[in-house]
Amino acid sequence: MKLTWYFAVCLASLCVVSCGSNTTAPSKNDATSPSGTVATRPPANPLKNAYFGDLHLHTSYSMDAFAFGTRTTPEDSYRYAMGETVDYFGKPQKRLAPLDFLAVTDHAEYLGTVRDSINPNGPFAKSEWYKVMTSNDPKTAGAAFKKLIGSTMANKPLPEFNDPAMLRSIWQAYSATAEKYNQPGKFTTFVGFEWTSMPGGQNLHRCVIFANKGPEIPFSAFESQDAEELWKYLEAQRKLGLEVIAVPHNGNVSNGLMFDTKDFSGKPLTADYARRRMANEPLAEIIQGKGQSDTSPTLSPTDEFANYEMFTSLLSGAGTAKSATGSYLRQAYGVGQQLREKLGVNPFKYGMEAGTDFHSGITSTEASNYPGSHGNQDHDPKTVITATESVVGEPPITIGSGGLTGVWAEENTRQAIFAALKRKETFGTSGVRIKVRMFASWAYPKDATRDADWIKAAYEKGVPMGSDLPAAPSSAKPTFLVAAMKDPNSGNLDRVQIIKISTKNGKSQEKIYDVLWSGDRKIDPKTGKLPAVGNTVDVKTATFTNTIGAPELVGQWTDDQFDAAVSTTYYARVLEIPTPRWSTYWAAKLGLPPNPKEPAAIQQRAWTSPIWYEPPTTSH
Amino acid sequence: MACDLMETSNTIASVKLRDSETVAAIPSASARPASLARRLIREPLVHFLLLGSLLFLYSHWRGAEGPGSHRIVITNGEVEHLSAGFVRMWQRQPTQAELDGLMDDYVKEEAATREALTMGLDRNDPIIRRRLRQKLEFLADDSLPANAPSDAQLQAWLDRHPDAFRGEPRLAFRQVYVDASKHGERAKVEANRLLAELRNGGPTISISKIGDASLLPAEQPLVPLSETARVFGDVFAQEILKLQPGMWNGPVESSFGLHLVLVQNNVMAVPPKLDEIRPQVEREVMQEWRKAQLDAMYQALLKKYSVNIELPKQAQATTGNTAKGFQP
Repeated sequence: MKLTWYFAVCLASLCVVSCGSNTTAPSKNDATSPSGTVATRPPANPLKNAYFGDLHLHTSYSMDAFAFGTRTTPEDSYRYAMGETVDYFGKPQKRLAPLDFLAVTDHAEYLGTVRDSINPNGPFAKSEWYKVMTSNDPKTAGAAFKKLIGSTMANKPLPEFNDPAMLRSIWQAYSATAEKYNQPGKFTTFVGFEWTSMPGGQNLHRCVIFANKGPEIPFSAFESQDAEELWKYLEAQRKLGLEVIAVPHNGNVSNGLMFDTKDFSGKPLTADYARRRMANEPLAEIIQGKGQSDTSPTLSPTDEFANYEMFTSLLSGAGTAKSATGSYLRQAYGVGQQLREKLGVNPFKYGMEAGTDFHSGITSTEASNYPGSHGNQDHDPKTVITATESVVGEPPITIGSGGLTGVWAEENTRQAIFAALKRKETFGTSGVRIKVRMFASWAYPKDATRDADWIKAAYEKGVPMGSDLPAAPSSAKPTFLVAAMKDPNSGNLDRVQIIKISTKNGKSQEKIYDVLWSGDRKIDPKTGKLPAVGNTVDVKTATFTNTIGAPELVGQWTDDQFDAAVSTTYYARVLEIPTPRWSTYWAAKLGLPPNPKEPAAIQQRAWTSPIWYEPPTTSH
Repeated sequence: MACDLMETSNTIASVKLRDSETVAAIPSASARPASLARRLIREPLVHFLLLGSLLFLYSHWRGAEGPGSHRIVITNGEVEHLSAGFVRMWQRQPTQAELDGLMDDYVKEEAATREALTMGLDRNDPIIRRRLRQKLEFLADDSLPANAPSDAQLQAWLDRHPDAFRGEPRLAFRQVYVDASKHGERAKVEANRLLAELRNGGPTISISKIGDASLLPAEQPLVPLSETARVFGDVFAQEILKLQPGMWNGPVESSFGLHLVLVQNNVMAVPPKLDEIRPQVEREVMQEWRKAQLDAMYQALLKKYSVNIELPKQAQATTGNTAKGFQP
C-alpha cells in the first residue's frame, strides 16, 4: 500500500512539474532586435563593401579543444571578434582590428545529442521529481521503489519524455548564443558546426553554416562519414525552410580523398553527384591554421610561391599525406573541368573562403598578436619554439596564424553576407585583411579602371568573381579587372597574379601570369618571371618597413592566349611584401633564433573565387 | 531428537500423577531444547533472511538496469525516442531496417558503456571529467531566471559601468589621396601643393579628378570612428579626430600614404539611452548573472566537501599548505 502511495505522489508531482516547465522562449531574432540607433547603421552599398570574418572556429564546446585546456565559450569568441578583450590562458587578448562576422563551428560529434534526452533524469534534473528520486531519506529512496517507478515509466512513457521541444540540449543553448550576438549592420553571427568525417585519419571535414535559424540537431560523423549523407541532411533542412551550406576544408590532409574522382564507396563520380556537390558546397576553405590547400610544390613546380604554409601530416597521427593528387584545389579545378567534359557537370567548381580552425575559441589571425591556437599545445613560447611534436601530428610551430573569409556584400547582415557566400563573391586570405575584387568581360574598354566609378561599369558590363563568363563572342578575348588594397595594419602589396587552369580533351595545365605589381620592375624576358619585391624584415627584432611594395594595385589584363574551345578557370592571387611570421615575433620576444623548420618571413596573401569559362558541350 | 524429548515428557507427565516426589526432581518439558531444524524454521530472523535472499535472486534475475546488470532492455519509451530523434533529423519516419539499425547501435552503446563503467574506464579520464563538469555548469545555466532583466536592473548595470557603452565620435569627411609609393620623396611636396589647390577651391570643390586614384572612399558619410579606423587604420582615425571641421587640412598620414582631409561633421560621443542599446546591456547583465550563478553553485557545492591538498615539500615552503582558503 505504501508503494502505491509513493507512486501516486510522484506521478502527481510529475504532472505539476510538466505543466509548469517550459522551454526558454527563443531570443529575439535579428528581424526584430535593433542593432543600435537607425542613424548609426550604415546604409546599404549597392556596389558592395568588403567584410571579413572567420567561418571555422572551435571553443571549449569541442571536446578536443576542451582536452587542450581551452576554456573559451562561444560568447568569448563573438566578443573577441567584435574587438573586445577576452582572457586566454590567463592573459588578456584583443584584436588590433575587429572582424565583421563569425561562425562558431564546434564539432557536432560531442555537442548535445539525442542521448541526453533518453535519460529520464535529464530534462527533469532540476524538478521535484528528481529530488525525490535522489533523496538520501530512506523513506523515499528504497531500491525496490526506484525500480518500480523505472519500469512503470518505461512501459508507459509519459508524453513529456518524448516531446522533442522539451530538449534542453547543449546544442539549443549554443545556437541561441549566436542569435544573441547577431547585430544587423554591425556584426553578423552564423549558427554552424563541423562535421568531422575522418575515415582512416584522412580528412573529409566540412563546416556547416546556416544563414539564419539553426537546425534542431546537428549532423555528426557518427551518423555517417559519407558526404553524400551530409548533403541529404542539408537537403532535409532546406525542405524545412533553413538555408545552409557546407564548406570542405583541409584537402591538404585528405590524402587525395577530398577531390577524388571516386565517391565514398569507390564508385566513379556521376553527373548527379556533381550537381549535388555543387548545390550543397559552393565554397572550399583555401587556408587555415593547418595549412593551405591551394597547391603544393610537387603539383606546381614552376610556382615559386607554392611552398607556403605547407601542412601534410594526417590528423590523429595517421602519418604523412602520401597523395598530393586529389588534395589541392588548383589541381581540382582542372580535374573538375575534365569531369565536366565527361559528365556535363563540374563537381569542383568551388569559390574560395578561409578560416582559422583554431581550437582556442578566438580568431587571432594577426601575426604580431597571436597567442597560440590549440590550447596548451602551443600557448607557451618557450616550448613551442623548440617542440618537435604536438597532437595535430606536426610540431606546433607549423600551425599557421590561420585565414579569414572576405565577402563583397551590400551590408553587414546575415542575408547579405550569406547571399555573397552562395554566389561565391568571396575571397580567402591568410589572416590579413587584404581587400581584392575581380571582374571579367568580353567587352571591357582600355583604361577600364581609370574612372572613379569604374566598379559600377565593371558590374554592368561584366561579371564579378565567383561567376561564369557568358558564351564567347567569336574571336573575343576575356579582359579581367583586378583591384587589391592592403590591410592597413600589415605589409604593402607585392603583386597580383592571375592563375589560369585550362582543360582540353581530358588534359589540364596551369599557367601563372603576373598582372599587377609595385614599383617599376619588369618581367624578365628570358624566364618570364617578375623579380622579387625585396625584403625589409629584420628577423631579430621581428619588424619590417613599408618602403617597398604598394598600398594598392588596380589594373586590367587581357588573356591573349584564350582559346574558346578550352575549359578555363581563372583566379587571382595577391601577395604582400615579406613580413614576419607569428613564430618570428615569438622568437624575437624571447631573444631566440626562429625555428628553422618554418621561414622567418612570409608573404601573406589572398585568393579570389575564380571566374569560369565553359565552352558549350554536346548534351550527355 | 525433539521427538524423543516430547515422548519423554509424556512419560514424565504420567509418572508425575502417581508419585509427586519422584517427579519433582525431573525438569519440566518446556525447558528442554527442541530439535534445531524445528527451531530454525520457526526463527523469524531465518524467515527474514530467506525472503531477503529470494528477493535478491529475483531482482538479480530480472536485471537491475545498473552497470552491473547483464540484462539490456530497450523499452517502448526508448524505441520511441530513437525514432523521434531520427524524425527530427530526416523529417520522416525510419524504415524498419533503419530502426533496426538504430536499436542495434543503441544496444552496442549500452553494452559498451556498462562494460566501460565496470572496468572503471570513466575514472581519471580528463575528457569525461570535463564533460561532466560542463554538464553540471549547464544545469546552473538552466536555473537562471526565465525573465529578461527589468529596466531598473539594466539601468543599474549601466550606472555601474559608465564606460561600457560610452559610444564613440562619428565623423563625416572627404579625403584626397596621395600615393607615397608613386611620388617617393616628392610625396609631401605634392600633398602640400594639392592642399593649396583644395583650400583655394573651398569645402565643396569637386575632388573626383584631384589626387591619386584609390579604392579608399573619397566621401565618407557620418560613421563611427571605429569604422574609419577599420578602413584607413587607427593612426589616421585618431589624427582626423583632432582636425578643425569645415576646412581642408593635412597632409595626414595613413598606412596607405598621405591624405588631405576635410572634416564635415564631428559628432561627439553621446552616451546612448537605454532604449538604443537594450539588447547589448541585457546581454551583459545576463552574463553577470550567469557568472554569479556559477559562483553560487560552486560555493554551495564545495560546502559539501572538505578539501585536503597535499602539496609536495618544496611547494609547502613557498605557498603554505592551504590553497584559496580551504582548510585541510
